[in-house]
Amino acid sequence: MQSNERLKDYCRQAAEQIRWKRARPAVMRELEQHLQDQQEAYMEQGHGQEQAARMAIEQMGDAREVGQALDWAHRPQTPWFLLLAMMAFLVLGAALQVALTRQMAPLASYAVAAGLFALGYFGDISLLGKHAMEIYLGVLAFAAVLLIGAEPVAGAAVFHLNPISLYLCYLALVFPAAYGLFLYGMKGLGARGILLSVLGYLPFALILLMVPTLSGLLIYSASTGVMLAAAIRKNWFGAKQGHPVLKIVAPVLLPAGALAVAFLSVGENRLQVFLNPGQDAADTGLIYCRLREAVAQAVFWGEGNADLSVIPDLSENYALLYGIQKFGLGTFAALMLLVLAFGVFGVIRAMRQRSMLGTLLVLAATLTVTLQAFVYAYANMGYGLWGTLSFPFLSRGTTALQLDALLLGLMLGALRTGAWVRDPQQPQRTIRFLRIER
Amino acid sequence: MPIDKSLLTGSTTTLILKLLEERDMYGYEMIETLSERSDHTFDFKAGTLYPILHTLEKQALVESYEQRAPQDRIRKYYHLTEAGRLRLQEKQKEWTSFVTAMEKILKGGAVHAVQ
Repeated sequence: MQSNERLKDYCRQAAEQIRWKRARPAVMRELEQHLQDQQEAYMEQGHGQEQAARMAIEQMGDAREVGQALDWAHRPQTPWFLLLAMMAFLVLGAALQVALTRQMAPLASYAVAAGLFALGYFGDISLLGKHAMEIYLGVLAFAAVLLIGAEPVAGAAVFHLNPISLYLCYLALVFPAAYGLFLYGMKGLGARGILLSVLGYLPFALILLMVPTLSGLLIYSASTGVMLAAAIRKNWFGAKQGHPVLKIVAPVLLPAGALAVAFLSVGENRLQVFLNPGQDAADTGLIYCRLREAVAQAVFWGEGNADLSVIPDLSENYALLYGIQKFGLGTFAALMLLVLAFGVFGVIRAMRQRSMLGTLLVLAATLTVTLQAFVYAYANMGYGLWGTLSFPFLSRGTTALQLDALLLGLMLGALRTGAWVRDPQQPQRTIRFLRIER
Repeated sequence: MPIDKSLLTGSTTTLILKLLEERDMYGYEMIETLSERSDHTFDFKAGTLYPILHTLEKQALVESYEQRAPQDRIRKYYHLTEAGRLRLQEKQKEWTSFVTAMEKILKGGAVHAVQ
């Protein structure tokens, strides 16, 4: 056997012991490199090429034993608690929707959601990093096409492609992750990168304004503001990140600007109805009054007395209110504490990720899901100024359910394998193409 | 002088972190440097080194990067992180305490024997 083949064969035998296949190529490369260095050293001592190869392999150790030791070092860290919590929520959500709709049909959506979760969880997140800018531009183009082809339904843009109808407000669930990939492409671009990141935020914000979904805009803007702050904190843009004011203003500008736009869009009349719902007995004010009354009639533990038949779209927009009436405010409070704990945990784990890709993906998923839940909760309590999107896994809404499942799959996948994701040394291909230089 | 393996267990991490404190190195370079500086007392097998290095990387005590080397090769270098630096300091303190305590016992045993 040729010495090169002998070395490669050894590395293959060692790498085969590593159960996580994705780790094998890098390990093989490193071992082969070492063996070649060792072989050259033996050849300099006067040994022949073949003899030097055999000695190098002997020096390395038994391939199987070396591989087994490497397998220990390359085991993915399964986030068991989050994984089990995720499964529990899926089951709970399916049960809740079956109870609310009195149909078995929602189970199919939950099965698809479980499949999408698995796709995100077992997928290779480094592929997202390799094509970050292309994915951002692809999502933008896709969203623009949907918006152009959408029709207004009850004031919101809906894209029809029989038999599917897509409510474009749910694009707000995808945009933070796509923006995260944009940020990922801004590595080492200094102050210019931060300014480009503010610009990169705008197209998605504009689309959400045109849908319109003010809840979606706020969720997107809050998430992206935090993600930009995290990228600056981790020095992603490089040593010359610009004036300290820019580093503070840029991340704050995104959610602050969105909040200002959201308040201006609401209009004074709507604001008055929100503050004094009794003034509008026919429409929005009536909904506010019924919601607040239903909450007031709930008990801390157990079933309340409110008549929920007067609440429209209960399973879709007010599933939490059903839960409050059925199980009490205490259960609701516990659920929201759990969501808050998830949010805090997610942000902490995101900042501890070794790769920026892991940080951004975990942040995008954590913030999207957490903010979505709180916006929904406020609306269910009768204090939602800008409407709801969905409560992750619990409220009816196939698109939101499946997007949330995919997002959380990506998040848990990043937590599981993020230790081995490498951020690029060179700028992304698209950045080089656009000649955005460091 | 060959050293009992049980004495090396647990010290290997400290040795690797200490080397990386000076400068970034790749695996083969670490083995050669350790051997040379210890007058061949520490002759690690590469198959022992790499699992330890990869575990240290998983623990974020070191981080790796690839760099082009002569003859168009790509070498994987390791760099000590801040967390790695702190762990090294702890390990060094631990080692100093251990050695001091051992010295007291060993020297104390010799004194009693003489008496």
